[in-house]
Amino acid sequence: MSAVDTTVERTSPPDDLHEGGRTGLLDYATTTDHKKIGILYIYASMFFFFVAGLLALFMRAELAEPGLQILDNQTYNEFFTMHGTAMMLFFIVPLAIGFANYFIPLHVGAPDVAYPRVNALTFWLFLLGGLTAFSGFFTSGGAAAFGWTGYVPLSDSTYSPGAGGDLWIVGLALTGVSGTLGAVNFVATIFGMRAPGMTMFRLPIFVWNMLVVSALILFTFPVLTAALAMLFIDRNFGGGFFDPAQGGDPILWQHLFWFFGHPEVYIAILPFFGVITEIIPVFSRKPLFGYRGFVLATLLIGAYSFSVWAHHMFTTGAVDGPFFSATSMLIAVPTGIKFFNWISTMWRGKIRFASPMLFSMGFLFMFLMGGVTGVFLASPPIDFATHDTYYVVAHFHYVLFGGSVFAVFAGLYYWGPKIWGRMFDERLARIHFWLMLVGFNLTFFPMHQLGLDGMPRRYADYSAESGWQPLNVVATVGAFITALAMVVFVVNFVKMRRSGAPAGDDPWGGYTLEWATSSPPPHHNFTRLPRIRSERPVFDEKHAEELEARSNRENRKSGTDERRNTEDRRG
Amino acid sequence: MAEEVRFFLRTALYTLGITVVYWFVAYEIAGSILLLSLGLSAVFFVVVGVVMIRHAGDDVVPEDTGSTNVVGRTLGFDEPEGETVTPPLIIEDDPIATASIWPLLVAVAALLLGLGLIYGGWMWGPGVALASVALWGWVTQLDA
Repeated sequence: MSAVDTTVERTSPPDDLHEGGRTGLLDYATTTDHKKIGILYIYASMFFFFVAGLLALFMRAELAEPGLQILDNQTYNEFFTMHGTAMMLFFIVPLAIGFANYFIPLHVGAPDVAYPRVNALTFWLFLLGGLTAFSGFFTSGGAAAFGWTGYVPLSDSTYSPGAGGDLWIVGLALTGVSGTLGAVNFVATIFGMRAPGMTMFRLPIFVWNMLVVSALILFTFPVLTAALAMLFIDRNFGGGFFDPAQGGDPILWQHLFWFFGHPEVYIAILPFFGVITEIIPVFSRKPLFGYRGFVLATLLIGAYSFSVWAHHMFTTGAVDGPFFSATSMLIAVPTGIKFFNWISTMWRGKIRFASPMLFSMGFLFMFLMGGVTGVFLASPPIDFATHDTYYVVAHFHYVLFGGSVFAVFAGLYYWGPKIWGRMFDERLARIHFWLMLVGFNLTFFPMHQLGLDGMPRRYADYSAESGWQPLNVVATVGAFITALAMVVFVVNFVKMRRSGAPAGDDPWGGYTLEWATSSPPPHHNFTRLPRIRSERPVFDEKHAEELEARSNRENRKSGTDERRNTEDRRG
Repeated sequence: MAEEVRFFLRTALYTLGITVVYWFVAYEIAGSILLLSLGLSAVFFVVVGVVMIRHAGDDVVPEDTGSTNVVGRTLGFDEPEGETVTPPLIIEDDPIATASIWPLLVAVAALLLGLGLIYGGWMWGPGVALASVALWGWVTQLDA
């Protein structure tokens, strides 16, 4: 494989990976090592991904033809509720936190996160919270069935009696506390644990994105946890926060939920902007175009995300349409800046189309489509026409599956060699990519048309006269192709773990500090650190002589070729 | 002012500004209060940041000057200035918390307390007991 430029061969991982002489399960149950906790996060969130994906397959199978064949209405409701909840809160965010756990300390040149034990607590709270929410399936009334948004009055004790809804609330509350603690940990690590010379504006973009994500979590997860507590009191202790008969207001739930829920969407996408921004420069063999502009765009997205929540509530008629329409469309501006950063980084670069880069390119195309339909939906008249139709389903799956999940796999193929010390099979990775690209688009592209034709989301059935069946069949076929792509990934993963080629320290010619240590890194990450004088310390070290010669050459003819000099730094 | 403080300052300025705009555009109380409390919590971070920097007696944190920081010193980094070769990392005493069972037990206790709300208060007995033991073990750094 031409993409691999191995400098150091390593036949077995370093042997100091176990703390306190413990091995096996006890080692993982008691670990406070950020790398092991990161791996636990990745495994656990992938577990929830496969479970929630299985639920999606059942739903797609049910929708392949009119009438009820596989699921009844109640089960279908439980499935889409747990699918959405798990994908948003037990998969995409924890997976980002897993990457962050593993790579923030490596990126900033620290031996661990700031609070290793709190870090361990966040993982166990998240895992137990996720399992608690899913345990509703084993109660007599079934799991929560009111959608991942939990709108009242549907989610109150009259319309959703039984333990399933309460288990959902408790599970989400545990996960919410976990997220908040994790965010504190990341902020403290990024602010207080940076290696000598690692200034804020030399941080890898992934770290910047996680910093903004941590701030979003800090400011919005408590709102969710509080809203869940209020809902729990309403359901079980006769509270009336959301009950008009007692002077409450159901719209208040929507305000609270979406005040968390919209920043949550950015919590689910910003880390993956970070992932592909690590990948694209390395595989274009150029520095990132416009580092500071990119950071600014990230900060703007974070700030704007606080003031757009009620664009989910246009059809209530109880919110200010122009305000939320304007602020929502404004978010397209910093996101657009990022697209120009990515494209300009690739422009005239020597692009290597290895698997991480393929998935990143997939991300760019798919996320762009989701982003554009998002701008449409920010317009109240269009939103009124398409609200709760499959158009919205298509929109957010293009953002979160076409965006985030493509970047998840980009990240796994890029960082997998660092985490597990072995290379993935590149051929299987390519098959995985193309199957997933085709399957994903077959599943979700027809949903745009279905939504415009008026097919509502969250129904197990549709009439045979509606004419929606052909597109639904296409979507179902696509879903199973996507599932096949996941099988290919699992095969590739098992193959990598059993017999992957040793990765060496730096298989991709990376720029950031994680590539300056072994794969996997030793217990305290680094045995030596390169000097940090830019945001590409590993690149600087490897090419020190070249850079120096070039800089001398250019100093001699300074003034005559100023343009090229500035091109080498950043714009 | 350090970038760390500016980070939250910008959040505070944006949110407080948009609160005013939102109130006069929408006259909607739930969102205004949410935005206001968000802005004020960002102000809290700014104040904490400023106080911490005052307390440290310096506007600039060591990471930003290229000199070594607390963790770096503990782990044996020397000043990187002037030298082309960084010294190897020497770890004598492990400065980082080692393995610990207490985080897992605290999480299990939290789960018991949560489930007790659903399945009945009897779960609070073992829940509170486990929480007490686990928190005591955690704060005293009991080796387990």
